[in-house]
Amino acid sequence: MAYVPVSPGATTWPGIYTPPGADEHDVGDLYGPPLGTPPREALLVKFTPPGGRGGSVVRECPADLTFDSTAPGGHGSMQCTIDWPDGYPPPEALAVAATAQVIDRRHGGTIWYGHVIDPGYTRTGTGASHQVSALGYHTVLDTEARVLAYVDRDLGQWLSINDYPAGTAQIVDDLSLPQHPGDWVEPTTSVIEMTYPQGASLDASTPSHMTVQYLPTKYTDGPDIVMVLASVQGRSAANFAVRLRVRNAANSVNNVYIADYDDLSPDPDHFYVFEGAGDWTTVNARVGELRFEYSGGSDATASRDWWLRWANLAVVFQRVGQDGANTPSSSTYVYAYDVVNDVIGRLLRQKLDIAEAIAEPDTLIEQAAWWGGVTARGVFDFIEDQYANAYWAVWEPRAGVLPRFEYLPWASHPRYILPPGAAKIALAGGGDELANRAVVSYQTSRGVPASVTVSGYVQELDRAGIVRTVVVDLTGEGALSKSSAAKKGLAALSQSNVIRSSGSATVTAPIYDVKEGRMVEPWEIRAGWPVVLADGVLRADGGTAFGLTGARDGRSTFRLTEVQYSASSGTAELTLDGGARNLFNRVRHPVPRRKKTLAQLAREKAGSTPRK
Amino acid sequence: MAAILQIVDRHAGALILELNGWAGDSAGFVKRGLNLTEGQLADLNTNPAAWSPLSTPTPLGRRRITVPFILVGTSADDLGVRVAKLMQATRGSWWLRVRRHGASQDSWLQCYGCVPQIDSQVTASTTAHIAQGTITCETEPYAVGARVDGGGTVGQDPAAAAWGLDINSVPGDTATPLLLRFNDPSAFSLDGMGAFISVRRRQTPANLTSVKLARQAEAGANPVGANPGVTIAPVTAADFSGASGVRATFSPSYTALASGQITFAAPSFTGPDVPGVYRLFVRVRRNPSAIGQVLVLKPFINGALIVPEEVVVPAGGAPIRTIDLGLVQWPAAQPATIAAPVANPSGAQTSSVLLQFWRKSDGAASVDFDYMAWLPADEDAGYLTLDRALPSPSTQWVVVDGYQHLAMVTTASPTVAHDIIGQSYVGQLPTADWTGGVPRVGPGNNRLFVACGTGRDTTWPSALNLNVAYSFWPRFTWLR
Repeated sequence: MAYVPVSPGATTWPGIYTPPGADEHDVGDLYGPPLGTPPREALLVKFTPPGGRGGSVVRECPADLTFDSTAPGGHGSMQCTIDWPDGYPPPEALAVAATAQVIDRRHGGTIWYGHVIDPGYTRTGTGASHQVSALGYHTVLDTEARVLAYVDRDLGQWLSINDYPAGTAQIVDDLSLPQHPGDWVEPTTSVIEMTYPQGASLDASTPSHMTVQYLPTKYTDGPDIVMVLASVQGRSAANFAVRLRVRNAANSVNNVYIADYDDLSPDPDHFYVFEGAGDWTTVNARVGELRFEYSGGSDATASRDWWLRWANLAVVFQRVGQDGANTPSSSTYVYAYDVVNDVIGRLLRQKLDIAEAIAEPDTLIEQAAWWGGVTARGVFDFIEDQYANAYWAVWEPRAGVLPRFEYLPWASHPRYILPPGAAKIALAGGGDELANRAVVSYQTSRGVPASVTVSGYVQELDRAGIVRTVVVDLTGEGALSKSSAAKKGLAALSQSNVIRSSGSATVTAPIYDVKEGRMVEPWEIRAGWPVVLADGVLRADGGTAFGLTGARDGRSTFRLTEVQYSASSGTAELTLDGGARNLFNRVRHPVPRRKKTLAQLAREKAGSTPRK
Repeated sequence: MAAILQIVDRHAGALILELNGWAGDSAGFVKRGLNLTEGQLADLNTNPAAWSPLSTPTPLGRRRITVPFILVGTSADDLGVRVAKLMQATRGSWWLRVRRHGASQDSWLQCYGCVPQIDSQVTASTTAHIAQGTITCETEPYAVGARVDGGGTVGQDPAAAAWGLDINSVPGDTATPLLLRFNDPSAFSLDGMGAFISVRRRQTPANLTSVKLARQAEAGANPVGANPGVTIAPVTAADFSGASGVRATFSPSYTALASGQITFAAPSFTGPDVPGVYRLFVRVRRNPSAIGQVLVLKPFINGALIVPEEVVVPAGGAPIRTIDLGLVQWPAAQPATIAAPVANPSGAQTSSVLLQFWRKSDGAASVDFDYMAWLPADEDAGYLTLDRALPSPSTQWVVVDGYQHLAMVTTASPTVAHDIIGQSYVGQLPTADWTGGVPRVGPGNNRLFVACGTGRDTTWPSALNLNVAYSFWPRFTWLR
C-alpha cells in the first residue's frame, strides 16, 4: 500500500491551490516480487557462538563479503570484515568454530552456511575489526579419518613367516592360473609360490609347514576380515594338506579351508571362505594365513620338489551401511556404493545429516584399502576416480540440526538459464586437444609391459567423423589387471578432455531458476546443476517450465561446478566445466587427490594452479 | 511556533543543550528564532543547517549535517561551561531533536561523534560572551519520528483468521524496522517454539488472508507405485485446522521408500496482490513409530519437483511440525510481471501442489497431513526459535530487534525499564534465536505474518494464539 499523505489542510499561501479536476492519488508501488535487489538490501551475515548459546552477531551485508559454493564440496568459503567497536573484547560469536551464515533477508533462507576458521581480529589505534574467514562443513570430510579397507588384492601384503627354513614362499610371475569363476577381476600374473625342495626333511610329529600371513589388519583399528578368495594349484601327490586359517587379535585360530594336495592338479581349486555358518566362526578375524603342511604319518624326506601356487587372492573386509550397522558381505563384488555407504556409516553419520538421497554408483571396485588411514574426502576422491558422474556436497541444515550431506548424480536437467544480457560469458577453446581414443600402457606384473586401447564418445569429434588417439601412461601405478587399466585409462582420458573444455560466466542480474520456477538473484545461484547459456542455442526440445529436458548440445549447456559471489561487485562468477564437450557424459571437478593424476600433471605442466 | 533544534540524551530523551535558545533565557545559544526563515530550519547564523543527501542509495548509507551556531554565555565562565558541555555532548554518538517552524511533529536524528569548530572572539565587552562555530558530523541516514506501538492476538488456525496482523497508516517516507515484543504466558510455557515471521508491504496487504493462503489436505489421490502399502483416507483430528486432515496409513507390509502422494488444491487467492514469492509450509503429524523414523517429502507442481532436493524430516522431535518446503512463486514458473506499460497490473493464478512422501523404514505407521500454507517471503522474512520454555513467562518478554536482527529475552517490555536476561550458570535459560531479516514496515499499510509451529521439538497447538506487540520509529529521508 502506498503512502497516504496527511492532508496539509488549507494553505496559508493565497494563490496556491490544486487545479480543479486534478485529483491526487496515493503513490503507486511495485507489482510482483522485488527483483534486481542490490546485495546490501538483501544479505545479512550472522555469526552464532559455538554450541548456539550466547549472543549472535548480525551485520547487514559487509561491503567486502565474498562466498562460494562448489560441486563437489557444497558451501565452500566465506570472507568478510566485521567492524567491532574499539575497546570491546572479541565476541564469542566471532570465535573459531562459531557458526557463520549468509542469509537472504527477503525470504529468510540460508545462502551460505559454515563455521569460522579465523576470526581475523585486527586492532589498530583507531579501532578494531574482524576479517573473518569461514569454511563450509565440507571440512568434516577432511577431519574424519580412519583406517579403511574394503577389498585388498595386493599380494605384497602377504608375508612369508618362513617357518620351514628349507622351503621358500615368494611372489613369482606365472601365467598358468586362470580367472577365479567366483570373481569378476581377471588375474594378474603374480602368484605366491611355496616350495619344499627335493631332499627336505619332513617332520610328522610336529608337522612341517610353511605359512604366508596377511597381517595389515592385526595392528590397526581397521575393519575385520570377513572373506578370503583364492585359487590354489599344486603338484599331484599325497601327504600334504593345504589350509587357509584366520586368527583373531588374541591369536585364536580357526582352520577354514583344508584341501588335499593331490586334489590340486592339474586344475586349480577355486575357493572362497567367509565368516559365518559353514566357514569360519571366529569373529573379529584380524589375520589370514595360507599354509602348506606335511600330513604324512611318519618322518620323511621330500623325494622331489613339492610346490603350491596361490593366485587370485582377495581379502574382503567388514562393511557397514549408512546406519552404521554391519552389512553382510561374502563376495568380492564390492561396488562403489558399498564404499560410499560405509564411509557415511563410519565417518559422517554422527557429524552430518545423511538422510538425503544418496546416489548408488554401481562401479565395481577392484582394490580399496588404506592401511595408513584415509579421510572421508580421500575416499570420495577415490570414488570419483572410479565413477565421475556424481558429486558430494555439504549444505546448510534444513529440517534437522546437522549440516546436510548429499551425494547426488549430476542431474540431466538444467537448473539455471542465463538470459542474454544477464551474464558475461567466456568459454575456453581446447577443441584441438580433444581425443576420443587412448592407448593405455600399464604393467601386468613386475616390469612386464602391456597396453589396452579404449575409446569413448566425443560429440564434436563424432560429428566431424574424426578419431584422435592419445597415449595414457599408467606404468607408474604398479601391476594392474586389464580391466582396471582400461577403466583408469578412460577416466584419465575423460578428465583431461573435461579440463580442456571449460568456461566461465559472470552473472550480474537475476537469472531464471528452472527448479524453483522463479527469478533468482546472483547470490542465490548454487553449484551442482547444469546451466543453459541462452546466449547460445535456445532449446526447443520440450520439457516443462519446471523441468527442461533434452540432450546437451555442447555449445550452450554446461555443468556448474563453482559459484563465487562478491557483494562489492554484486556479481556471481560461474565456473562451467563440461557440458557435452566432455567425454562419455562424465564430468570431473579438479579436487585434491592423494596421488597426482595425469590431468593434474598436465595442468601443472601448463602452468595453471590447481584449485584448493 | 519557533523551530526546535536541541541536543537530547536519546530518542525522545531529556534536553541537554538548547541550540535555538530564547532571548532572555539565563544562558544558552543565541536566540535565532526571529531570524529563521518562515517554516525553515535555516539561517541559524548566516548559513542554513544543511543535511546532505544519502551517501548511497541504500539504507546503509550515512549523511553529514552542518549546524552553524553562536554560543552566548551569561559570563565568561558560563561561556566556558557551555562550550565544555557542547564538546562533551558531541564526543560520542548523540541525538539531535529537530522540529520545523510551525510543525507539530518532532524528529530525532542520531549523530556520530565530532568536534565542533568554535572561534573564540576575545573582546573587551563585559556583556557579550560569544563563541561562534559549526557542528559538522556524520549522521544516520534517516531521521526518526515518535515511537508507534501496537499489537494484537494472532491466530494460528488458517481456517479462521490466522497469521496476519495489520500495521496500517505507517508514517514516514521509507521502510523502518520493527521491534517485535512477545509476552504470552501460554505460548512461552511450551517447551520451545518456532515461528516464521514475514511481512507484505506492497499493494493491499490486508487482502492476504489465511483462508486464501492455505489449503486443507484432500484425500483424492492415489499412491504411486504397484503395491506401496500406502492408503489415504480423511481423518478427524482435534488439533487440525477445521478438525480434519488426511491420513496416510502404511501397512505392515510397507517397504521403505515406496511413496504415496496427496494433492493440495490451488489456494483461492486472486488479484494483483498474488504475484510474489512465497514460502511453502505443510503441517504434518507423525503418529507413533513414524515419529522415530525419517520422513521424506517432495512437492511437485505440474509433474516437476519444485525444490532442488527432497525435504527430509529427521527422526524424533515434535509429532506435529510445520515443515518448510522451500520457495515457490506465483505465478509458478512464469514471468511475475509484464514490463510493458499495460493499463492494469497483472494478477497471477495460484498453483496446486502434489506432495509425494515416503518413509525410510519398513512396516506399519501413519502420517497425517493437515494443511499446506503459502506465506509471503519476498520482502522481509525470518525464523524465531526458542529452545525451551521461559522460566517466568508471565513477566518475561521475547524481543526481536529489527535494528540488529537479533532476538533476546527481557524482564519487561523494552518500551519501559527492563533488563536483558543473560545466560547463567544456574538454571536453563532459553536461547532466543532469530535467523533472517526482521520485517520492516513501509509507509502506508502493511501486514505482518506470524506463523507458529516451525519449531523442531515442540508441537504448537493450532488453537493457541500468539500475542504480538510491536513498536516502530517512522523514518524520514527528509529532515522535517
